[in-house]
Amino acid sequence: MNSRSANSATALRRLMTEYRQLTSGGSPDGMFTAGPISESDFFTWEALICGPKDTPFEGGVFAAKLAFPTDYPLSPFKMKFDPPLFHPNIYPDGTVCISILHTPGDDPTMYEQASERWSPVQSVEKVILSVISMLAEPNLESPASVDCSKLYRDDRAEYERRVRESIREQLGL
Amino acid sequence: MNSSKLSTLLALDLEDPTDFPKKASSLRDLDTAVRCPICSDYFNGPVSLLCGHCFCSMCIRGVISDPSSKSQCPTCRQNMTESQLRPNPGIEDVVAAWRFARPYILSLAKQEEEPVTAEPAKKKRKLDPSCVAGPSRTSSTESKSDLEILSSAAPQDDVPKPDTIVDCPLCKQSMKYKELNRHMDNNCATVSPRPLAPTSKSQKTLWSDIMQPKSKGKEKDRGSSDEDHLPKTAYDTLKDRQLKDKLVDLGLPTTGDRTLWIARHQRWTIQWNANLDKSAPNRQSKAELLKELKKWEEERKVKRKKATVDESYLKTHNSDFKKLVDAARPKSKGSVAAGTNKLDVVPASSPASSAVPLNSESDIIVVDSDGEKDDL
Repeated sequence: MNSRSANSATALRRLMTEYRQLTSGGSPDGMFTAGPISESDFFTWEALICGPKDTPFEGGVFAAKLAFPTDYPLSPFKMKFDPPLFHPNIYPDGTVCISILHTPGDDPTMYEQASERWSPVQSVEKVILSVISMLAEPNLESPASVDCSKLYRDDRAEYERRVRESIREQLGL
Repeated sequence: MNSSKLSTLLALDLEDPTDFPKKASSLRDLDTAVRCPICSDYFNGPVSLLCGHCFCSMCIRGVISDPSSKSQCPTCRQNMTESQLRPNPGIEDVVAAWRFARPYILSLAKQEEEPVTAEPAKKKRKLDPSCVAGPSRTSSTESKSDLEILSSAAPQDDVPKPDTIVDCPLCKQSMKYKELNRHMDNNCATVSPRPLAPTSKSQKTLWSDIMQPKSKGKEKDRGSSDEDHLPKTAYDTLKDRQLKDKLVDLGLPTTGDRTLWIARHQRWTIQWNANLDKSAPNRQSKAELLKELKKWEEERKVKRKKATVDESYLKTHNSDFKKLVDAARPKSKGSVAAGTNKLDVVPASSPASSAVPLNSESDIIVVDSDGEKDDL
């Protein structure tokens, strides 16, 4: 852990402000909500995201866990869909692979521009909005789920069918 | 530890831009504009970078000392160095003035929300000299467009409440309605102080925030002659002895081991330099800085303890980890792709060494990425 600048009081304060802004300001178009799971632990949040319109994800509601480091916002948080989502940029265990959640230092996929990485001025809101747009437009350059990426590239109709099916399953229809 | 800190924070009743009603979105924007984008608190010792973006001195110095940040401006990602930081006393003044004015403006903005008092407050907010809200007038004389909804809620001949803020029809000074008569009887002489002069509790603390360091800091800063920024230190080149001497020179404690010394010295450098970026009246004394350093170290200790608690988590899930390791090992022998090989080492060693929960999550990713390779 980075001992130099880690200061959990700063992190806590910032998280509380973000939470307040999300609750009182509301998300754009009401596409998502996010907040701590319990008041005793402000470093674990849950987000509920609506599937964007005009995509196979439309109509679904997806839950994701956000895990914040103690030196937030210097380091990004981690985001994991639970249950996992069938999507090219989401690992089969549900972890989201998106450049905005990677620090400029580490580059698991070796292609990302530093300009689209995490920076302390990013926020939960901005990241979730990026994830929503990622749902609509998968990025095939960094496939986290190779199965899904192949399907998306080769057989779009089948991909959409499987996504819809998984959503129906999730909703218990 | 979190819960106790949380309760103290909750008791603080954090201010944030959404305190202002949605209708006053311009005030929300204003409140956001005087806050540091990193900590989302008001600029504390604001400094500007070469690109012009402004942050708290502590915040941006924290970013610079963070090894993963690559020293780029968090907003525009232009390269930056510590030497480019320039204090921004203009913004500092704006923040102080805004924090002082905020409770007053907030009360006005909130009054506007309430239907009955909406009308006079609205005028106040826009500071429109042309409209005079005399107490004898009623809402019916006002421009209807603004009040179509409101006037239906409030009776036409509604007299302002005693605590409503109204403008004196003679001198246009604003005051509570109940004080208006006395004011006019005295030929508009200001007998009582401005009624909305901030008196709330938060206001008082604000005052002490602004005033106390002023008196204290000035005297004490004179005492300590060294007003220079501390230079960056290359700790690797220093022997233990030299490092210790450095701490002693600065008047810092020398408890703990070398890693703690380095961490302490780094933290002190950041604190010290950030303090110097504030304008002289706002600076903290060395004693205050030392107190802050101590607090930071205690926090750090607690964090360490927390990490050891996580070891019990590792123990209970040890069998799971072993399973994952076993699943990963044979594959790594077969395919010695550079990426997988390096990653496979992680789960193998993690149950013993790294005790951070986040790591265990990345372990899971690793195993999955393995699965991917198979799919390929």
